Amino acid sequence: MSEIEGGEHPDAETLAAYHARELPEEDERRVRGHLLVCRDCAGLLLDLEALDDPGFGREVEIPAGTGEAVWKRLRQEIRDHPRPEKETVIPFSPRRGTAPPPWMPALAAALLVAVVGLSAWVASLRRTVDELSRPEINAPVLDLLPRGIGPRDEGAAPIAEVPADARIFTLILSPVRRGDFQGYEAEIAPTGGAAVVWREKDLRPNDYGSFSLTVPRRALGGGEHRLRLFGIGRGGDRELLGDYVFRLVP
Amino acid sequence: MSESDASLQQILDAIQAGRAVEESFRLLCERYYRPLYAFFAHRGFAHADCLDLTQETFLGIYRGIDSFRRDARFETWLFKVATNAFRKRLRHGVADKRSGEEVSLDTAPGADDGRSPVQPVAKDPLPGDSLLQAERSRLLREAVDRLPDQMRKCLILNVYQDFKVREIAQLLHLSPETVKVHLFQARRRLQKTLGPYFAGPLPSRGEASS
Repeated sequence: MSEIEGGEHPDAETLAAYHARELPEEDERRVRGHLLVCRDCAGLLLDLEALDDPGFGREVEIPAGTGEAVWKRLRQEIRDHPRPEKETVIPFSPRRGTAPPPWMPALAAALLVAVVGLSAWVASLRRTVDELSRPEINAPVLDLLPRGIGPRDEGAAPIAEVPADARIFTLILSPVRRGDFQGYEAEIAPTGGAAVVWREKDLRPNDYGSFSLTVPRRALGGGEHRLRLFGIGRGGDRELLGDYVFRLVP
Repeated sequence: MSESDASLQQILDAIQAGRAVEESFRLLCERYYRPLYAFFAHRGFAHADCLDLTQETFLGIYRGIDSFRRDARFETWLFKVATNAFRKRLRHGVADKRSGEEVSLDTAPGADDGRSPVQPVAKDPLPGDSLLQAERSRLLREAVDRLPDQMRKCLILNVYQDFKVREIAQLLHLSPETVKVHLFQARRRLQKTLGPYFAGPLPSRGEASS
């Protein structure tokens, strides 16, 4: 604000701000100083104070027809310069105009498929966990003999069979020979197929030097299978300790 | 928000949205033409000027309605527009007077008797009276200047500007009670300081403002 005091009158904005007590302290002091010497500005402020008072200006005699005369000119202005009606705008996101990137639908579809697949997998896992958690009564225990040893080599011994209703079964493996191995492992593959469908590492022999292996049926599928037991030497090399055959009744 | 505030908001909403503008402005005009007319009458304008300035103010409101953001009261905005119209009129009035034709006082119409048309309205005061008056004025001015700031301002607005207690309170953002106390104490101090120099009661408005 420029210097006021006695000379320049504060503008309407400044007077209104003084009235609302929104001026900085220094400006307020200047306006107050000006009011001491300027009756006009003091009068303006007093009128501002009283403007919203319903009784303001009652003492002023207003000739009849004044209101109509004011309105007449104003109406003319309104008709000469009409205000355009504004369209109703529905407030929305500021990014309303921007289209989504072209890969967005593909990404959304892929995410949907992934979520559905994941849900199915989780449901299947739950079923498996539930199934395995159930106690199995009279689960079969098969004492397997290595091939090349015992009666089967003579063609008399039948292949050990896992009944169709057994969810899990235990195989007892007796190795052909014993040695100083640092570990043991077993792997199962369908007879005639090369792919291993089940493998168990870190096997430990029991007090009798044999191994017991509990296998869930669903890990293998039906048909004849071949199980091989290996001893792991110090150098990491594997040595075949037994080759067994058993059959899962479908 | 009072009922009248609510209806004012509705009127302003309609005008700003461009809906039923004529009807809404008519309501605005009915509501504010009296206080606006009085505002200009208080400034000493004759009826024709008051009417003209009231119309001008409403036109300013109509043309600038989009700039009214509702963060201040509508009456405050009305005051600003009216004050600007008033100040503009004053400036033009001064300019009109400056551009008026110059007339010699010696040859003014009706000065055919050879006398100057400007006659002294009163005789000069006696030299002694004048000196005494000047001395009393100086003493009074000095005593007023020595008063505490707020007390001095209250006294000046009351004695020199002739404002009432309620008005001084509004102008200085004080309570009327505070103004009354300031005025009472100011008079007592002046009486005490200037008593020996003034025979009568102190100060009368006419004397203080001379």
